[in-house]
Amino acid sequence: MSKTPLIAVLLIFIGFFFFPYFYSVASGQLGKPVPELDKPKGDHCIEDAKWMEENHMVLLKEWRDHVIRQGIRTYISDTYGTKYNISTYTCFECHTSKANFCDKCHDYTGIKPNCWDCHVYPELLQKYE
Amino acid sequence: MSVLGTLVGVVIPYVAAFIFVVGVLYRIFTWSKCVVPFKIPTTCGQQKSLPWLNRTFMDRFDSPYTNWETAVRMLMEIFLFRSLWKNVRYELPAQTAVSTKWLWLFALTFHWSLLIVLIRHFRFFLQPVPDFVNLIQGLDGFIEVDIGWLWFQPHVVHIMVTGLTLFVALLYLTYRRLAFPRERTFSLPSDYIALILLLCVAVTGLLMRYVIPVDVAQVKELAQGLLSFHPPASPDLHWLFMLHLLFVSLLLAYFPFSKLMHSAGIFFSPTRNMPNNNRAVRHINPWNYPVKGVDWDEFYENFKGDMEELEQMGYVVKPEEV
Repeated sequence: MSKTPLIAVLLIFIGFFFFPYFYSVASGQLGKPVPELDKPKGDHCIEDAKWMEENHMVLLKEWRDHVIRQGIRTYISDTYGTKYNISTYTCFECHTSKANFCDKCHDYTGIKPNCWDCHVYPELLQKYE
Repeated sequence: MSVLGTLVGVVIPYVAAFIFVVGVLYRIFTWSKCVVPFKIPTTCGQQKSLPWLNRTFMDRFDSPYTNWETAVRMLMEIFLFRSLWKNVRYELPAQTAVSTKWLWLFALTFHWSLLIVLIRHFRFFLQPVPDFVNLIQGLDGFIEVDIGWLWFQPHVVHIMVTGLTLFVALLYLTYRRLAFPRERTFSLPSDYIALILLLCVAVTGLLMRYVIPVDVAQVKELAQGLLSFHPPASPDLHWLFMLHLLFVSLLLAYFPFSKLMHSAGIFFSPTRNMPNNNRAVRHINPWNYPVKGVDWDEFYENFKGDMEELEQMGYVVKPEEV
């Protein structure tokens, strides 16, 4: 058989299967672990920190529904039993940077949340205050 | 979880990837060494012939004459599945072949969806995530759905279209084998195993996306660890992700032994990858053994008695003039 199909298949196979390895080697970030985040102010998050790490988007979606659809503005923490005002500003009290907190993991995993389509983020807030 | 985590998270993926790479390379090289004794392109267009015989534009690709035309035909086969487009079903009462495009439609949907889903998964393997992956993710997830069901999408709002089309197409391809009498008859266990494995991968993936979210940062950390050959000692991730990884590993390990190798095999199909230029270019059969031949003197010597008898009967016996 002519060698053309072999070359085509090899190029596609190597190109597709080994591309991630070569790309990450070329970028010099091969094997990068979960990035370190800025330590927020305050003692603790509104829920358990580990739970928040994995489920903050669930909570934020829930908050959105509570405020916009049901008009509830108070949230009572499951873990600590304290009352919180449901607002992004409550988050910003401790998490003062989007670039050094939110974006780190989101960029790492290629997630583009649509929060900032409408909401302000801390940096923008600090700039105009 | 720790021993199981190491096994499913590290050992099995490495073994599976090894089997996949070695197996696929082995099969590719064996195929490339295969003898092609005859030039056997399948055609369905007017071949290049006498100058006054008209060929339409598509005839050039349905019956390719040059290597370039053959390449275009191959690309159309790979990206558009043109031979499935010509699929027909024989209708018994009417005794006619009716064109049916359902297989083509769902096969094409499945393969394109799978490609896009694979490219989307690059976000776990590429660091930093490149723009083209972000772009594809953005385009794929341009539909925002917010139904308000508690179990559905507790954490996201975007629907990834290709994930769903992949699943629907797989369901049809399975349904086709189970429900249609002829397809059911010629379906072998290996046909179902491939479908079942792909369905398992798709279902666990969709569950993670829409129902039971897992921590993707940890997933990426594991993927990066595996990629850099410094895997974590005992990854302790969500069970659903581990199941997904296990099914993917099984699929990878099964790949080189299965009909899934058609992905490489299509390139090696002699009926597809040869130009139809039989009359212009001679195809030498590699199986031809060298023929020594016999010259006149040797021939005469071998059949001396017969030759002399012929000469006595009055025939002229002499070597053929070439």
